Amino acid sequence: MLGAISLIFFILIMVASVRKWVRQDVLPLQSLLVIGSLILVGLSFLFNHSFDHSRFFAATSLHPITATIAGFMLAGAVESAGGFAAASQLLIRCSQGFLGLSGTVLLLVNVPSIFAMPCGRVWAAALIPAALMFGVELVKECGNPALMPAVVFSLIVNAAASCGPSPLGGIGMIAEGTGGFDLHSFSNPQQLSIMVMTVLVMVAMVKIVKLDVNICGLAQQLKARTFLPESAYFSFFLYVFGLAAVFIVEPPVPIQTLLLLLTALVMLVGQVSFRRLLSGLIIHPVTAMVAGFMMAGALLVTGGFDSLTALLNWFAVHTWLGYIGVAVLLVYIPLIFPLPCGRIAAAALLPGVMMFGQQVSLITGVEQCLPAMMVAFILACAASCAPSPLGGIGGIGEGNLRLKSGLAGRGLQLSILLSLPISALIVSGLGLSTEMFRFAEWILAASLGMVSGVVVNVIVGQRFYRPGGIFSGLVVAALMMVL
Amino acid sequence: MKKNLLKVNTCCYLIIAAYLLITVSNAVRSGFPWAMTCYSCLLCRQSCPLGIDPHGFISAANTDDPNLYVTASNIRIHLNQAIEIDPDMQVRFRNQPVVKAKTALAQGVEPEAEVTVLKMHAKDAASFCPLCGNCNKACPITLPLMKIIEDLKDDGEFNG
Repeated sequence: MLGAISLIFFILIMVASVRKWVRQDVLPLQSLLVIGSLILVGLSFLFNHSFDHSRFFAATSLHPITATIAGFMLAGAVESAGGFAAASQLLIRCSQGFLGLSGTVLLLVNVPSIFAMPCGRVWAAALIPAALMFGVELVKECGNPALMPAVVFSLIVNAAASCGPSPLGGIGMIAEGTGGFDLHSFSNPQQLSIMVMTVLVMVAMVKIVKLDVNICGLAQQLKARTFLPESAYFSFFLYVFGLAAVFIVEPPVPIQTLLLLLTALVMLVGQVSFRRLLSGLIIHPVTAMVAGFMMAGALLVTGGFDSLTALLNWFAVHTWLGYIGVAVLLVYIPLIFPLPCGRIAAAALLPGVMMFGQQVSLITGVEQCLPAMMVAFILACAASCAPSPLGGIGGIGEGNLRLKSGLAGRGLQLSILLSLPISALIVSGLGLSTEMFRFAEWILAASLGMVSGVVVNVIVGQRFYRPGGIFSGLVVAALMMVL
Repeated sequence: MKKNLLKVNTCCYLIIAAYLLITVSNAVRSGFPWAMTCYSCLLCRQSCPLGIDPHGFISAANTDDPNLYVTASNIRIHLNQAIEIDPDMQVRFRNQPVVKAKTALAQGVEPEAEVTVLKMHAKDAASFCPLCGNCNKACPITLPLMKIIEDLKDDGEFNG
């Protein structure tokens, strides 16, 4: 009984925030979640249900919180040192070479998933300023203002989804660990789907959503921000190569330690003061994550998640949806209720996904149903923080582009909706593997890379067969497979 | 935002900060503050021959609570042993539903019957641990999980 009440209460809170029945300027999501958790704790006392305070606190995972803070510190240091202004200059020079505009765009927006961090905000915070400055130049060259939001939001969705395949404590590892699958076996299907998702967002922003951005105003503001001290280029290289090295070598040291070390180095090189560093820290996503974990803890203790599993079971047995229908619904729940951190939904619903995945495998006789569902679910969790109206990364893009909150959400959600089945198809068709060189997988990656290159060529207004864009697509696909 | 709402929302944010502070201080008090660095990737789960969830020990250290329940799947003991250790331990007898050990006895399961333990206190799980070190090896950042287990094996308390 208590479990059912807490579940209904949680859903009401989420809907109230998402539908803006409770406005964010009255009670932001964090306050709602905190008040909701306290009410659930109160209810557990009211129902004489034993309140296990250890389980309440045990629901919190400090890893993404500390990774986000450390990432923001590093990004703040590089920003203060002028590193991202240097990055935009480098991007402009790169676009004048063989890769051209389309090749450079494709490479830029896929960097987060190539060097995937445990929280996409680490790259998003870093690269959005560079993407904005490059976007202004891109619009000037191509004359299509829709390209600006296309670049920014494709980068955002790529960054958001990148915490799925990250080998540095990404959400995919939770699924691998829980399901007993090989380490990193979920990475390739996710990364290939993310590549498709990224391009779909570009298409959605240019052809469907068509956001109206004040390019001239932005260009003036960005010009005022551009300054290039001597150490700017060095700071940027330190940032990129530092993160890439961490990613490739995978030292048995927590990523947070390495990010802090890099921050200290950049501060030294760029002569960045501690106060300037702190000014780059964005508190909102951190507090949203903690509040989300608090609510998860309250739901765990009051039996809310058990009720959800029981409810889904009931639907599967008593409605025409059946196990397969409910399984599909379950995979898309993170997208239907997008939270500011995908780990909350992942931690809460993964046992349910496993249970349903096993049932679907039994019913269909296809063994790969379970891993296919798990990969698609993890990707949904990871990518869902992009369109989340509750402090998702998309909000950072909207803020930077001076757009009204929530405008980009539908485009982002549509792209994620269409690309999730791709990851499931890859797993069901090719199976899971940790081998680096699987012929079929490489062919698929090359094909998707080429198609991405062609699509981006067309979006940017160039000939579809422009070699720079296609080469960039192949490079992105190869890097994803290797790293 | 109106003045009253500012106060309410600021309080909520302070509660969030306090929640984080309590989480961190619990980990420090247990004597294993490095438990906070755990990625929660759950790769250690596959490594235990007894099916004990090693991440449960990390959670127990993070909350400074050796009585936190951890899951297991391959520990088989007699029912009377289970009741002696912890009557609220969750067990399964053959294909019957999972119940507390004391409930299984009340339902008529023989005291000498072999049951599979599915949830037990972290300190009790530590007493069964064979100290094979598989969980240490499975950890991608090589956290010394065994140190927590050895500490709990001693006296069932965190001594750091």
